[in-house]
Amino acid sequence: MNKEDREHIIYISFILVVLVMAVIYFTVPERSLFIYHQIRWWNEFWK
Amino acid sequence: MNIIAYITVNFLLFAAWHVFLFRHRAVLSFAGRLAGAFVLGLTQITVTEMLLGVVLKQLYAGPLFFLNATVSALVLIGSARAVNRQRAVTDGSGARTNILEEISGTVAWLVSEIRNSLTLLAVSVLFILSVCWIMFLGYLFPSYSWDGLWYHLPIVGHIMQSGAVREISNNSFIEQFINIFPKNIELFFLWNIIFLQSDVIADLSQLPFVFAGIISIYGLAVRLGVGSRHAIYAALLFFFTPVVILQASTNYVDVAVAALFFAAVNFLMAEDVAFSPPFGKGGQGGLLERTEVVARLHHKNITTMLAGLATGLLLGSKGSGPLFTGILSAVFIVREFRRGLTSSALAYFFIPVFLTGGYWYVKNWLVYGNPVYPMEISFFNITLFKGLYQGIIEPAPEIINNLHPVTRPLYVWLEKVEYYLYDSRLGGLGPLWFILFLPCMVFSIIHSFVKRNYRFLAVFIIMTSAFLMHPRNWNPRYVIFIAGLGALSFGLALNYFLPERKMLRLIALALATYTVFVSNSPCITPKQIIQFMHLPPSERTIANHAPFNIDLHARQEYGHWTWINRNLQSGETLGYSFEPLFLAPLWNSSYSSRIAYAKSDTYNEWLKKLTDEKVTYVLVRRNSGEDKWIQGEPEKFKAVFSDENYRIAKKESGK
Repeated sequence: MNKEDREHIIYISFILVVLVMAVIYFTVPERSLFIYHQIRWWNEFWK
Repeated sequence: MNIIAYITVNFLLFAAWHVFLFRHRAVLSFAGRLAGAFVLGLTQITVTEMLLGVVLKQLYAGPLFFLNATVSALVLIGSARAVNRQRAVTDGSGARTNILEEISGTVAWLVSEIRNSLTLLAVSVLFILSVCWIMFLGYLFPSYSWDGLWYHLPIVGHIMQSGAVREISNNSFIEQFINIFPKNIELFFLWNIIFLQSDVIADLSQLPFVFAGIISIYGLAVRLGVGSRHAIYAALLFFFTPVVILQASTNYVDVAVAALFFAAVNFLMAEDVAFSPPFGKGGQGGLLERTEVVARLHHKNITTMLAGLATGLLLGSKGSGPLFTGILSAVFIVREFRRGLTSSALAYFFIPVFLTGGYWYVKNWLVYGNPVYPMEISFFNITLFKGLYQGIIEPAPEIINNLHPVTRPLYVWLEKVEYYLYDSRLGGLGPLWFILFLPCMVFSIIHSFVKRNYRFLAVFIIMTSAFLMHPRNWNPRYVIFIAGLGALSFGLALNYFLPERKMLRLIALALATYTVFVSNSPCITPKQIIQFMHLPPSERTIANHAPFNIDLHARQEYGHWTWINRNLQSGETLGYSFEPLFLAPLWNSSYSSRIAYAKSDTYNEWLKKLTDEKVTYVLVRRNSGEDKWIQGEPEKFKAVFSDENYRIAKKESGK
């Protein structure tokens, strides 16, 4: 395995970890209420 | 006229120190000199205010303006001459030409770097728009943060009304803390009020610290070997931390603390990089020309001094200052031991630390017998300094108390909150921190171990030590600096992966955009923005704002706050005889009126106190003893305001 392949594997693994972290972060139960509050704020803003 | 004075004194201040540092460009990059000029300017503000407030008791706009204008003019003239002499030896061109050329060249370079990367351009545009939005909201709304109204701004009010930095009488719980808190950042709040004779931009005082933090992170990233474009990207991401965005328009001090910590680390590392063997590619440090080594030795004191000043300013900014100062001092001593500790190096670091931050602790020691009063200091059950409290007074949320100390930060980083607030305790570091910066930190640590990049490991150890030693490290606003460490790690990760792999930058851009759109304070609603845009500036008050964070507790106070804001003139004194919810709204918006606490068991004694304090208006609670005295003496006290809870009466002079 040359240097470029190794870097490629590290990169893909890294992106996968980031995606897993994103799933964990955005799927906490409170997130929906949080986003709901923010959508309501922007709805009111654009009215 | 006030605006011209404010702009003039600030321009002179920054220009003078920028020109001063221009001579040290051998060891300080342009970004380093910007951060250095900020630290030196802040030092000048702090020292001149302390001189006028502590020593001369003449801390008023006039003396402060003339003292600073004189100091800045002398520094500017002296530095410009020195730069001219320096340039005459080389190419003969003048200081102004060189400095302006450098600035225009740097701006052109920055614009070209940003234009050459679409993601960097997008993040930069997002950053500029967000800063404009913060400035607009900061200008439009009064200071509404709880601690700002409770003690940060009252500290300013007390200093401005007496023209002195001194102890006030301890009549309430918060006044005790107003006396013992270190006040460096409050002196900067005062700076942003005293010339303008208005508190309209006082709540934006932390915004310059945001810029200083970004510049310091950029400087550190470059020193760690991150390419300049990636370093700009990483540094800008620090801004997209919700607690940073929200605190940038409040009178809190947490962003300032984080920025000063980063500035101090940046200057400490500057020294390390300039002298450590891997100065150039492939460890060329040992091959430096003797003349260059001598020149750098000449300049090394400046970075040590800047690190000392930033550490001292941090020491005098918050109660947690000693913790950061201890860590930074340990780093400095370890660094100096490696190359032979000298007394001059110690002096260049510790004298600035003491001069800019030591006063508050020495004063507490002398007045209360304990430098960190009212906290008790014990060591192995031996009480070194007696105090009133043995731990942090503010209770932690129940959910936090039920968690293990290790899992507390993890719980907070998941942000199980309904909204962000400037001091939201269970969230505030944002999705960038959890999703991107945490994996980047793990990656950067492993990568640094493998590649023996000890500089990053050193920064990581410094920041992690501060994080682990902080007793409230689960609370995002106390550890904002870890977002900066995350941004640095992101810069290293970007540097490692090939430039054509854009996924990381796109994820960062998406998360930054999300952060901007969800970092709306519930204290500022769209309806309130429209309402305030239609109000004249004099009516943009905390009472008309009725922000969500204080409204429930403060709504019965709005009546007399509004009256005070509309009617209390410069030089008039408001006497009060109870413990108010907040002290700040008892001053007018330019802090040119005075407040005085007057309480007594007997009418005659109370009247004497009012007369001694030259009280012109009396604020009392309805149906209190003082209220009955006022109503019994209609010739002496003419009621000018009353509602269900309070009454204000004009005290007739000479009666």
